[in-house]
Amino acid sequence: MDFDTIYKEFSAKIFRLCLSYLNDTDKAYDLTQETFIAVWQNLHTFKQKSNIGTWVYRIASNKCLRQIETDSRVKKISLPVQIEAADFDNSLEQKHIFLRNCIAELPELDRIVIGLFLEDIPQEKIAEIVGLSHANIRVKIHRIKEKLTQKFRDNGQF
Amino acid sequence: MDSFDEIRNIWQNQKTESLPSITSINNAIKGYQTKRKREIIFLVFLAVVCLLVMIWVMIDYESNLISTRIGESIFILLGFYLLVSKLNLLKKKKQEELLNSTDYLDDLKERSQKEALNESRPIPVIISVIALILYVYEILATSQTLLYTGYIILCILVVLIWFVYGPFMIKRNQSKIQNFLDKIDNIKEQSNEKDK
Repeated sequence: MDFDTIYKEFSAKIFRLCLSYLNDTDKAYDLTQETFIAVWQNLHTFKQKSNIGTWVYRIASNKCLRQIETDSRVKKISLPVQIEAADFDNSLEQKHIFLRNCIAELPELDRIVIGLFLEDIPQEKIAEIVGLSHANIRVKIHRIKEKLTQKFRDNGQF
Repeated sequence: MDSFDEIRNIWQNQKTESLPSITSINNAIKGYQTKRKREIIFLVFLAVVCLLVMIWVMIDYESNLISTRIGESIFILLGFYLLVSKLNLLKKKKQEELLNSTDYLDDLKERSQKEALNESRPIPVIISVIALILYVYEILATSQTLLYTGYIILCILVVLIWFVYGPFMIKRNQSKIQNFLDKIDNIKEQSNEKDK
């Protein structure tokens, strides 16, 4: 698979993964670009044995985790813990914002796990990308799904 | 369709049209490549210039004293060591991105600690001072007063570097990266949380 095809196939998915981690569109664009520069740089080392998607997501996840270095220097303005239902009507864009804010409240690793899961990556592949056991990922996904669904219910987003 | 499928649909329907085109990504890659090449060329250029200057000094300054020659050789070897370690660091940065997240965090932690420690270690500075002590012996040996004064100053310098500068830098670098290391530990703990 050549670089252009990889970019066309994965750029939107990687952007959303970065967005799930950062909850900041501009930073997510930058991180997507950085990810693809790293993909291009390492493409010659890619072995056909593994799945190209898993490989690209692995680079993107590490790029996201690397952000903690910047975060430790820059103070973050925390998002409101609960978002009132009245603040939103049910338009899709507002649902996106609500979902992103809910994900932003999760711990770092959970944000990556759910970002990958929302992109339809199988649990075994997520385990491979994150480096945890399949059982651990299954438990994590179950908990996060419950949390997000509950938040959506509580705030009348369904 | 369960309620989480609805959440998934919301997620996957986010706007991504304004993502950079393949042309702008290729331009960004070219820019990155040029910057990286420039960095390497600058490093190699600097090393070659220093080496040539040192060789020229060695040839021009016809010393018969072994201490001067040893001092000059230490300077050259130290320069090589610093160049090779900097180039290796650039190469390693590329490989670590391919690890899984858990291994990546371990690597990141280990590397940050090592870098902080290496920056604090006064060993290259001490080696430079030793090389300087050997190198200037020939000049200082012309007068005994000059020799004693010169070496007392250099010895004080070594003591200060070893006992004051070194510990100060270790403390400063540790506090600088502590917040970062705590964050890594925190994420590592998240991966250890299992069936609570």
